[in-house]
Amino acid sequence: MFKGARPSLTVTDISRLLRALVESEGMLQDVWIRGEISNFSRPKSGHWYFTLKDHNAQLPCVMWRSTAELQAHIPKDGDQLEVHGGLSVYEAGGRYQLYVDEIRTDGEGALYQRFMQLKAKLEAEGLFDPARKRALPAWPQRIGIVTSPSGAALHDMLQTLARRFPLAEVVLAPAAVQGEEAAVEILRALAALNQFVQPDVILLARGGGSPQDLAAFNSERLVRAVTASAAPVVSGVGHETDFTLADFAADLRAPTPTAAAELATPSQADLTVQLEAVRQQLERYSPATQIARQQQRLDELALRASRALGGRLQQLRTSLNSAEAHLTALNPEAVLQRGYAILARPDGAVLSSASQAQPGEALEARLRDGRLGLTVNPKP
Amino acid sequence: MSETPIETLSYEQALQELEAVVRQLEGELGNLDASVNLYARGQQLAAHCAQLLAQAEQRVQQLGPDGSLNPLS
Repeated sequence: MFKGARPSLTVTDISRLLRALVESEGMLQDVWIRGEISNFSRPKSGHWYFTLKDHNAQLPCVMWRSTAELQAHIPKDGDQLEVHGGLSVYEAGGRYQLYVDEIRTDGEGALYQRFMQLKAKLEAEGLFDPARKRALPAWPQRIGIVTSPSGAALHDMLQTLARRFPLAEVVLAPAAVQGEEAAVEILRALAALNQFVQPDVILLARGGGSPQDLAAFNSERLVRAVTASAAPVVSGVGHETDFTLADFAADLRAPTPTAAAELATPSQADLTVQLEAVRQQLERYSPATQIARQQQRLDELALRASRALGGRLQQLRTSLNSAEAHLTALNPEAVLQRGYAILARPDGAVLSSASQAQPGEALEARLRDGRLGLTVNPKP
Repeated sequence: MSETPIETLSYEQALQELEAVVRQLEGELGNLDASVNLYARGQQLAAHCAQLLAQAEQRVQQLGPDGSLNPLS
């Protein structure tokens, strides 16, 4: 007995058909699915394989290495997670599976909603306004730290501060940075630092963690305490990609605890260079240099004086010569020397015009070597 | 210019005064005695700064709930 006349399909054919069907369904290609992780494995290839399950069903999942490498947290069996991705059919295995491109902890969606609402509210109040941000002191003498006394964050910060700026005194105000008590302990630590220590700057920090771990840094009271802190606050919470509300409220947000310590301090190396520069400026005024400079000034003055004096003498000499020449030119004797004569009346009055003499008048001519008596003839 | 004992100055204070000394020296014309004194003060300040830099050892304290400060355990 034959079931219809249709030819049979190969297993490959039917698998491809199923795959095409699944992949053409938009809803299945962009979906968040929540469940518990089991059978998590991370072979050398770098891809992640796990099963997402609940009481009644399970779903094989794959996360390719390129995406897996970017994950801040590696899941483990038993974790309640939400995964995002697209469904497809794995033909070789004869099963459908989810190709995961994003993972978040279960409830993270709701947490994120609350985060965004609170952020919008505080933003509207102006608490994140850039104009509120205070400048950090260039030379903090006292640095307050609020973090867990047992975390790697404290170790990183102390090491960075010791390397860059050991001149500053460091005061740790210990606080739990995750869990129920964290928000309250951080608030207390901030308040105690401002009250008892009055540091020049406060580093508020903790290492990386899941969004739940960072929850204390998203509390409204902490945001208000940070903006109200007498000392400016540098936040360094989690990893570079983590943004908490405390980060937005801080006077400066650093991507990590280490970066917070760096941003809050000048470096020892820079200080040495700066000090050397000022020292060199100072050396230009050392007594030896000063005396040399005074000596040079003296020499210059002496030179100028002698130039000035020399010039003046020359000037005097020139004007004396010209006065002499002038005088010589004006001396009537000089004219007689050149063969001219002067006519005068017997009383000595000199004639300068022909109209001054009458025919028959007796005149006197003065020549180079003596005088002649003359009588004026009638005009020709 | 204040003549605070140099050893009591913080690094920042000493460096600021040193910079002030240099500025004053730059403006000082002619008065050799005053310049020599200023220079001497400047040298002491620079030496103090260098010493502070070289000797600086990190001091870390922990703040207790009552406001007391204790060496970090």
